[in-house]
Order: sequence, then structure tokens, then C-alpha cells
Amino acid sequence: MKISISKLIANRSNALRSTGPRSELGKRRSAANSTRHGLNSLLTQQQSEVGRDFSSLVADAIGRGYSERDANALVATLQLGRAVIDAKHRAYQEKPESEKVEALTRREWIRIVRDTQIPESQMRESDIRWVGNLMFKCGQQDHDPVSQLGVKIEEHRKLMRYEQRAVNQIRKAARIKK
Amino acid sequence: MTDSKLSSSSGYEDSPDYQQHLSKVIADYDHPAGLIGELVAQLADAFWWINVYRRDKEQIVIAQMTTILTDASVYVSRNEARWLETAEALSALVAGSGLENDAANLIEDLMVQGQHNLASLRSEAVSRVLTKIDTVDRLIDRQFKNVKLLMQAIESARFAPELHKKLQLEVEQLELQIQKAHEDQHLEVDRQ
Repeated sequence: MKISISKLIANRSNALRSTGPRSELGKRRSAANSTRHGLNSLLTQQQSEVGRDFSSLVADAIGRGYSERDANALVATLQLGRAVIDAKHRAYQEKPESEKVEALTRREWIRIVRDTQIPESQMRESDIRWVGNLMFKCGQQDHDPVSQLGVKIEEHRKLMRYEQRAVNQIRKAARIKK
Repeated sequence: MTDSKLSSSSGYEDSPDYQQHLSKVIADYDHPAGLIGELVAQLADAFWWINVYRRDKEQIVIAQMTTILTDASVYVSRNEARWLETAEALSALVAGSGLENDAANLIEDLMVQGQHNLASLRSEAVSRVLTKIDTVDRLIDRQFKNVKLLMQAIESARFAPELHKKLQLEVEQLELQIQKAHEDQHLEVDRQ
């Protein structure tokens, strides 16, 4: 949903003054703020936690001669591999136009922040410049295809170690143990 | 796609290009289902990213070549149309397809202004975006490793029933040998 610039600025300036969540629910919710793809939790997941979608694959693996334990292990690694693939595709998705920040110059953004700030926020000049710079950088990134591509590639670089681990585990788990 | 294929949450599999690519790779492997179907689908994804990264690598270089020629990035210049026009013309030129007169003139003028030719422009662009290109190359290399490992996994899963049968026969043979050795031992004891 697209929000007005003044609302966006008010939100950001209010956020600067926030003391964090107070309720238990809020704390739990904000604890998951930094969750990016949940791949680490999949890496430490027990083999018995194979999802329901995977049960047919476990049966197929057992039919191919894998022991029940090995079949579960193999399918769990495939689940991890699929999660990495999903995360990679998500990282490459285009940001919807409605979520993009307008492409204005740094000076224009600082002026807008100064003109539209709400008096209650009591922003100092340094805060105004900080928010203006932030908006400028967001706008620059959202409208520059090369910069967007750079962000996507960087996201994939970060996912590379999960990918390597997942595929190595798949290879290892697919071997029939004597 | 096989029905036992793991469901994805991003919706990328609905894209017609991805569907087409996936179907082609699955067809190359004789439409496997179940476990092998999923392994082949993950292999197809690795091939998909190799193509995407290669295209992106070229796009990064062409974008940088355009930035050098127009002396401004697409965002800073605020003259997006001109930047895109130059990028399109350069892209066609690099791909070896013919340029229309206007586009050819535009590129020629910009090259003369900047005292460049195509090779010098490309090498300068590459040197400026070397870090990004290096990252993309690493990503491509990772995909090749994934392809190799997934192919090995597919072979293991494909020949798993035969290998399992072979191992079972070997075990049976060993058991028979032990049984025979015991019998021989008993016979020898009886004879003595």
C-alpha cells in the first residue's frame, strides 16, 4: 500500500523516538524482525521434522532401498535445498512500483522532510538531514536498475554458503550406505 | 511438473519462462517423478541461475559502458531516456545485431567524444565493475558445482535399487560362505 510522503516521514521520525515494544506479543514479534530467510533454523532442524509435503518423497526413497533413517535425512536435505531456492528467487523479485520511494535529489528530500514534519516530532536539523539522506538513498536504489541488480547479487552472495551446504548435504545423503 | 514436487512459496514457478525451462530439463531426464523428480527440478534451477547470472553480468558491463559514454549514471543524470537509448544501442552493438542509423550515429558520436572504441570502452567498464563481476563469477561457479553434485545425487538415487539389490546378494553370499565354513568344520570334526 502506498502511503503519503508526510506520513512516511512522520513514521520514520516517530520511529527514531521509539523505546521499543512493551507487550509480550510485541516483543515476540520484534524478535523475528531480523529473520531473513529462516535457513539457519532449517540447518539445525531435526530429521524427524520433515514437512508433510515431503512424506511421499520419503516413501519413494524407502522404495528405492534407502533405510527409513537415510530416506528421512535425504528428504530433509532436499527440503533445505528447496528453501534456499525459494530464498534466492525471493531475493530476485522486483519491488512493486507502489513500494518504491520517489526519485528526488538529496536537497529536495531534505526540503520535503523540513516542510512536512509534524511539530510533535520535534526533529532537530541533524535528524531532518538524516531522514532526508535516507529517503534519497532509498529513492536512488529503487529507481536505478544497476543499483537494484547490485542489491540482488549481494543477496545471492550472502545465500551462497547456505546453498553450498544444502547441495553438499544432498549429495552426501543420496549415497547408499553399506 | 511432478505432483510430489516440493511446493515453493515464492510463486516463481508460475512464470512462463521458468515453467518452460523446468519442463525442458525434466523432459531431458524422461519426466522422472518423486525423489528424482525433485532432484532434477533442483538441478534445473541451477541451470536457470547460470543463464540469469550470465545475462546480469553482461547487463552490468553494458550499464557501466553506458555510464562512461554518457558521463552519468541513470539515476544521477535524470535523463533516463537518453541513458536507456544509449544502453539499448550498446547492447545491440555488443550482441552483434545491426543498429539503426540514429542509434549508430549516437554511439559513434559518444565514442568520438570520449575517445573510445568498443574494446577500450569495454575494458574500462570491466575494470570499474570488477568487484561485482567477480561476485557474479563466483555465483556462476557455485551453480556449476551444484550441477555436478546434483547430477551425482541423481545417479545415486537412480541406481539405488540396483545397488541395494547387489548389496543384499553380497550379504546373502557372505552368509552362505559362513554357513558352509561351519558345516565343513563340523564334518571335519566328525571325521576326526
